[in-house]
Amino acid sequence: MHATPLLALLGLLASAGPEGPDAHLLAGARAFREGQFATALVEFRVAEKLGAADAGAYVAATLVKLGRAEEAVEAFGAAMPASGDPLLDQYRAMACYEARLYLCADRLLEAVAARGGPGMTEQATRTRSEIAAALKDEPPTATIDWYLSRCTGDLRRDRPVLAAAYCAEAAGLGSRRSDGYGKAEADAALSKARQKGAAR
Amino acid sequence: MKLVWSIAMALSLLPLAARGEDASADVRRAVREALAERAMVPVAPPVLPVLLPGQPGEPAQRQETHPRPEPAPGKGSQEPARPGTPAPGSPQPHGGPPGHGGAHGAAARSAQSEAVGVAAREAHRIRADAANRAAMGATVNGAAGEASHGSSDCHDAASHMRTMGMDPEHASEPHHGGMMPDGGSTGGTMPGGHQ
Repeated sequence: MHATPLLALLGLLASAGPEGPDAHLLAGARAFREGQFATALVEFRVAEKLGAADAGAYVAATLVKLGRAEEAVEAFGAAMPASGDPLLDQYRAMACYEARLYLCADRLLEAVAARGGPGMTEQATRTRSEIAAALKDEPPTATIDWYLSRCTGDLRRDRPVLAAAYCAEAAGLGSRRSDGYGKAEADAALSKARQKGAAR
Repeated sequence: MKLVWSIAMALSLLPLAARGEDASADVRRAVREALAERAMVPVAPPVLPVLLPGQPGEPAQRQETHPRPEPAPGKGSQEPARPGTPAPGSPQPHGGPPGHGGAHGAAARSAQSEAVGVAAREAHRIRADAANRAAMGATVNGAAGEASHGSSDCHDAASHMRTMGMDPEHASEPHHGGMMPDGGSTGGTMPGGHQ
């Protein structure tokens, strides 16, 4: 007997059955809608484990709602290296914003404002103007130091995606200063973080 | 004969496969609708962090460059206050901002996350949250309903883990209880605030 069709049949039945990934995605969606984000996180993570391709991004979005912004930044980095979906970019931008990665948030919100629905566009535009106001002056060296310390610290803690985000932020802020304070150090650390992330 | 059987089998699978794709599309639509429904949130003004002198490598030890606005607590859900909107009376033992007070805890989380199953880890978090809710409810509001809700969450999560063939009671991750889930500890869901 050919085993392949039988296995395929079993796989299909499993994915469509009550404990397949779709069932967990649906349960996660229901919990998310009801504001039960801890439950939604469990369901989306189980769906991810069961092979649902896009569940990683839903996990990341749920982490944002749970206030776990740094984990969300990491999860988004792993789930969707490139942006492009306005809805998920909105969540990713909020992850960056709450992790105080304002340049990262601004980049994503620019895309959301361009491609999102009316409500999202309005919020993205408002948030971008607040970021612009906060960054209108030359950033203090102590602020760049803070981002550099997060960059090197997260690199040590084996969180390369988050480390890279903080390094990029430090480099971006450094480039906004006339003396380029911290930029060279941030660029070097960013390169390390990206290498480490790619090696994963 | 085998070939004929294989072809017949493949043909019989086609409608199933098509139905599966449709179902997946519907499921993804449902997830996206849920995400879209909760995508809009009020955000506090951005606050640039500052590393204090003499505290290199300690991102938790910092001060804000701007005053923080009043809290805008959400209602009826587990959504936490935004950064810059600490819950009333919520202590910050490390002097750090919401989301950044747990640098050491974050490192521990990262290391531990390698060792345990994802779902089991979430079960622990839910249990810790439930304990926090119960403690906070009893202390602040005397809200017995919150405590029972937490227990229900625990029970649901544990049942779910067992359904998935996992053992929620024997994960290797330490139990993360305590009143400050993310304030230098591990595994919390509410950085800098309480639900």
